[in-house]
Amino acid sequence: MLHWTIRQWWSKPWRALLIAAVFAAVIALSLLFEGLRAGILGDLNDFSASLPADLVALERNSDRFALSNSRLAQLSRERAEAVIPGLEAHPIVLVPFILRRHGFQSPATLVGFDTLGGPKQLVAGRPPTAAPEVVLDENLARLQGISLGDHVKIFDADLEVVGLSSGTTSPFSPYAFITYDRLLDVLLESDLSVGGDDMSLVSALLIKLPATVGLQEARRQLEKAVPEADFFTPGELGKGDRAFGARLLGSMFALITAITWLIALLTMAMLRFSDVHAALRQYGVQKALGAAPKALALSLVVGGVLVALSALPFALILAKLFAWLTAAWNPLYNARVWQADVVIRGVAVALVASTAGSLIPLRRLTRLDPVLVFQR
Amino acid sequence: MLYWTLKSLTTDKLGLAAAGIGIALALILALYLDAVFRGEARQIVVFIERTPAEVWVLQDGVENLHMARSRLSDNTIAEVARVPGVASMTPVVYRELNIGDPPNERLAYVVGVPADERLRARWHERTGWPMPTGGGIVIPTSMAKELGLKIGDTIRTGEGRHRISGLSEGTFSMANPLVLMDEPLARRELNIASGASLLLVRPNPDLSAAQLASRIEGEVGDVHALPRERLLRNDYGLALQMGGALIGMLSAMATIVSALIIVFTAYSFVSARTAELAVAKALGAPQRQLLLSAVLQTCAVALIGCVLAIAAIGPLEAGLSTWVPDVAVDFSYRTAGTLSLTTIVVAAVAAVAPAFYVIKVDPALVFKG
Repeated sequence: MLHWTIRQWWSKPWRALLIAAVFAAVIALSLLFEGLRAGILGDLNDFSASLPADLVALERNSDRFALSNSRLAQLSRERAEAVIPGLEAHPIVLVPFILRRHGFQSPATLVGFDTLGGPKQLVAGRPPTAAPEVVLDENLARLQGISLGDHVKIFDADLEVVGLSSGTTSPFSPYAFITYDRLLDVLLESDLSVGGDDMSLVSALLIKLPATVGLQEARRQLEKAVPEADFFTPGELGKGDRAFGARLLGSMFALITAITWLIALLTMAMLRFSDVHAALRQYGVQKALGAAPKALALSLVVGGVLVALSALPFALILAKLFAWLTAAWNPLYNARVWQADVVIRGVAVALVASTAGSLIPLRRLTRLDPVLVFQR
Repeated sequence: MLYWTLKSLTTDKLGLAAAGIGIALALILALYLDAVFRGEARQIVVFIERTPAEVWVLQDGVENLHMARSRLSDNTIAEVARVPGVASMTPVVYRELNIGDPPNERLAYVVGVPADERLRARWHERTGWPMPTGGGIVIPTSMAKELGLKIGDTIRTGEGRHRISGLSEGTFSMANPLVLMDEPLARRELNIASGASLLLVRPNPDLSAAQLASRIEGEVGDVHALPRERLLRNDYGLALQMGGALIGMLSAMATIVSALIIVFTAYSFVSARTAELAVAKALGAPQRQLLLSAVLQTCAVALIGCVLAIAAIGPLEAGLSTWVPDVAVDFSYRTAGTLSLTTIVVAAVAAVAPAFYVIKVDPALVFKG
């Protein structure tokens, strides 16, 4: 029966190819959405997790870096540095802003840095100096059609784009970098309250520990000396940002996943219905030869799994193409369709949908009259 | 021929149903994404939409309420109050704040409700939201449901814990839930001792909102005054632009998937009816009629999928609002219509494949066993 099923599947190669293409498109769509989720959460995780520090201090009760409204007192830095000899605490300021160009608006976060916390990886240009300069996330720049040397308006300040950074993307709020001194000028120029009651000049402290001090011991001492702050490793912040993204988008993506699973299931059911219909006479012969319902079910499932397996390579390529097209339209959305867990989920969707969807036409076969074989 | 076309289409009802539902689901996927972004965009502007103020005054250079920070000094507020044509003016503190205990923390936008009882009554009347009482706060019903909280329970907001004194409807979105608290409490939590974030201004009856906005900008420096509609458009546009291109792309991909399902259905339909087509050809049926039949069947399958998708919108919207209240959705029948039309056009083009098959059918086949 198994041999017959395989031969049956391969007897019409063009039909088999079309079936594989249809199922591949459905699986590619599922991979794209899973990839988008993985990309959004991964981007949120990666920036915070790559902060150049042993510990990061944020306002107490904050548990994330992305879209953080953490405010620390200016004295926090001095208090932290006084705890352990040789400890360095580098302040950074996070200011949300909206980048506007040619009528297009994108929310972003401006990172003001002094000695540490600037753009880690530059794909073009150089880091900003105290001159009116800014480094933009490369994908934000691409989205807005901004090139090196262009000028952008941030609040009321006119800044030249001198660098493009990678690893700083997020669909919610990609990052832009400016020196601490320039940021003060930008805020003053724009009449934004500087150091006032609602905008602190320190959002976070990037803490570098001396080699002789253990991380946990340092954290314990810092939490005691700077009670208004919580201290995280970059990895912990990355996880916090990821969890924040998952909370924000969890329900939306759960529904998308459910719909794509349903589409995969029904498409497979449709494909198998069609196959059964096209090979009704052959199935009649099998029944006339004494094939039991279990054998027919196995034949359907094997046929479905063959479709799924033949579709998978196409699905992976098509998903990559979909991801590329998505990024070309909006570079802030980076669908990680070939990430291991995404591929595993895609394979699971394909196999479960092919097995369950294949069994839907079984009723038709069990009720099939073998007399059909003798009809013209 | 038309009768044969439709009759033979319905021979394999289950297969046809599966194809129709498959296409409908692919369309629903695209419509759902569109609805999520529209729903979010609609919810993001709910504060601007419902609050009784024709002119909104923000800090110079600030064009949005969402994901932007505005700050006005006491001097600026006094200057705006002196502008001729200002009938009434309410300074409001408004900014984002973390709400909920880690790890269930969310970003919410806090509105400091002024103490003026008449103003509160007007806000309540216009918005339908309960005003905070007894030092408590008002959170969205959906948020309370999600966190398992009810009136009287406490929730961490910023640095303190506060009692929930009321629940508001229609104020929740993934990116912009609204929390109402008394102004002094909001000032403490947002760390805004003086000034305000924005001014809600009503013009004298003889002045339009646009005229007053322009007058305020002319007479007071460092402010940006916008008629409500413009601010609404800015924030709605910002929300849609964040996902607009993505929705377009994903809709196109869902249409591709639908098209492939349609092509396959049409192909399997004609390939299963080779003998019947051969008989029709042998009996002298014109090629044109056979091709038309193939195109009709392809379009009919697409139409079934589109009708199912459009019919599902109402129940889907009601179901999602009831069972998944934390995802605001706003399905658009216009988008559904456009997408359906595109799908049917794609189906007609896709009929080329089965039509080619029809042309190739040999009438001599009818004499073979």
